[in-house]
Amino acid sequence: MRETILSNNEKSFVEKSILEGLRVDKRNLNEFRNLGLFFGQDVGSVICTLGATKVFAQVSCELSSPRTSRPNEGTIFINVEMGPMAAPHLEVGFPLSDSCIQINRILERTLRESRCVDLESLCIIAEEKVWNLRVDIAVLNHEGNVMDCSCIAAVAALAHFKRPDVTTTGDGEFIIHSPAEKDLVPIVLHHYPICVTYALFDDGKIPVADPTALEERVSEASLVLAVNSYKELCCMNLTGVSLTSPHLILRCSEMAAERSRRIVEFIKSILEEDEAQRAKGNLPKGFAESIALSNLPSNFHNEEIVEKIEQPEIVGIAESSSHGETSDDEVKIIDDNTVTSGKWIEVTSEDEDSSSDEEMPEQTNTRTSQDAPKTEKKLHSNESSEEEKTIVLK
Amino acid sequence: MEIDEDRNNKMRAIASELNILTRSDGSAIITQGGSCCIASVNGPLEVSPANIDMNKAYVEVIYRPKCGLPGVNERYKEKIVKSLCETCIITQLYPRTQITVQAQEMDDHGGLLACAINAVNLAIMNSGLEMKFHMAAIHCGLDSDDNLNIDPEYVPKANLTFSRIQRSSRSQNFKGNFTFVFDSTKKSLIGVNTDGKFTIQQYNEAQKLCKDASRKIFDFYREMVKKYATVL
Repeated sequence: MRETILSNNEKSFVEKSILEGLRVDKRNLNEFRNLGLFFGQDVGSVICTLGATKVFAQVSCELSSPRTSRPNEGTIFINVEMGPMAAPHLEVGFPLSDSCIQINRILERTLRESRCVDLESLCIIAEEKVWNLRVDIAVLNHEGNVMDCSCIAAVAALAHFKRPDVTTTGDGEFIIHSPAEKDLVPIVLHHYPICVTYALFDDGKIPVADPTALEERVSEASLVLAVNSYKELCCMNLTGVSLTSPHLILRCSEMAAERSRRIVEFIKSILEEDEAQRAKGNLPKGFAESIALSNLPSNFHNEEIVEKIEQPEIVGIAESSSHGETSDDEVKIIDDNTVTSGKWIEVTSEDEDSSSDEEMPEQTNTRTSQDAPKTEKKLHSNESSEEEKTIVLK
Repeated sequence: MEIDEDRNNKMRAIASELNILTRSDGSAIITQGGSCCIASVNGPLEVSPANIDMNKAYVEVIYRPKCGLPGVNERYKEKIVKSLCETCIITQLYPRTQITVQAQEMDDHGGLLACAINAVNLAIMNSGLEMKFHMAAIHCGLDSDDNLNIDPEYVPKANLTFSRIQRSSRSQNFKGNFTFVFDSTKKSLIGVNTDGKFTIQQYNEAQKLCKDASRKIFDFYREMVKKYATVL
């Protein structure tokens, strides 16, 4: 089946609303959808949900001979599949669709070429036998930003996976121990690279975080940044037709770093919970439990249940702190917040100073005007004065 | 939706959720004990000229393993599910179209084929395609002492790892495996898949046991309709 045609009306509606800082699903421009992680009974199996986008990942291992160029390292293979389950226009099998290949390649660059998996620890006998890791990612529901979702799923599945222990006897022989004999060994991960995708609009001036399927189709370009929790950039990919500025990339990567830090924290906390359950000796109920508790957000239960990642966002912080304060003090508090609440704000202000980028003040205006108690109006005026400053600077 | 484990019938607990995918016309996730399968149905869709049928809809079934590339086993399961789908959907109502069914296995703790068939049935039910009847699949294992076990759970030894080496050993606790599929109207047998060694008496006995147990599945479907068809 061919993909449903996108009408001009839909396209211009999305474009125009983004210029006004609005999105079809009521999010702010740099707000992400809710993230959920559910581990299965088997080690290394996970369902990751990002809003309505759902991805299932499973890590498996098998013995094989190493590559001749790297005789003392194990291998890692990544396979992303998008079939008609993900979206009706997608097909399984060969030839693979372009989007599928693209996600596969970016994931390979993020996970393999950033060397986050300690491949040397997967070696059993150099030049002869190594573990071959395989990450199978099945996209269940394509509602946009499959990239981020499958990256988080892959990283979580790798962190969750455990391989059988091996002892070498020295004379080229080795024994693979069954889980009953020896405990399983986790995979060594040096760092957790997390992909963060921005769709670019308005000649590459407006980055939109975590785009939906509709926004992905309308956008001019997409910018994928893979950052680990140490703020190291592992992979960057810019596709589409759009010009962009170094300032925008710097700003996006600052925001991506913050996002990545939060996601890694989230993955680790969920992993700990799961590990504690397994340590108690009771095998987790896996997906059965998730269903029983209606944890997997469906469109039948259209509530957002998993709300653990807050959006790394300037006004969000200011708003939350301003609630319940007396109106006189508020402007000051907000001022404090805008100065101290995160590095990326400084970058944006630099950006506004140097390049004539009006986009950030615009955004904040619309955001604050959405819910408008008296306190927000003050913030509004505060922001607009900033905007005036930038105009003067031009 | 959940049905508790009944010790008399030895059926594992079933839980399911419909409509969990937004991009599919119908979708369902089902867990039977530790086994878990997700299915989606799209249709009627535009059909490719190669597969067009003037009299009825063309049914395409895709079955995906949880890891590794699909092989002969998966193709075989696709074929079974496809013939069952062609029987239960009134394909004559949708001529010159295509119906795509995809099943994805998520956790294998025995009886996965039965689990997949039940998931596909729920997904078709959810998609609103016209059906002649519902189908219920039951797995039955014949152990080495010649005892029949309805819907047995594969119990992993200790904290089992998942690697492709151990994959093939999953359902080999039994010397014989049966999967029977029954329809909802006459409760008659519409599909069967067996492997291993067994006698004809054991086969007949297993069929009788599974037919009794299929009532549980149909009751479960009824509960699901009650829960989801709130408009009626």
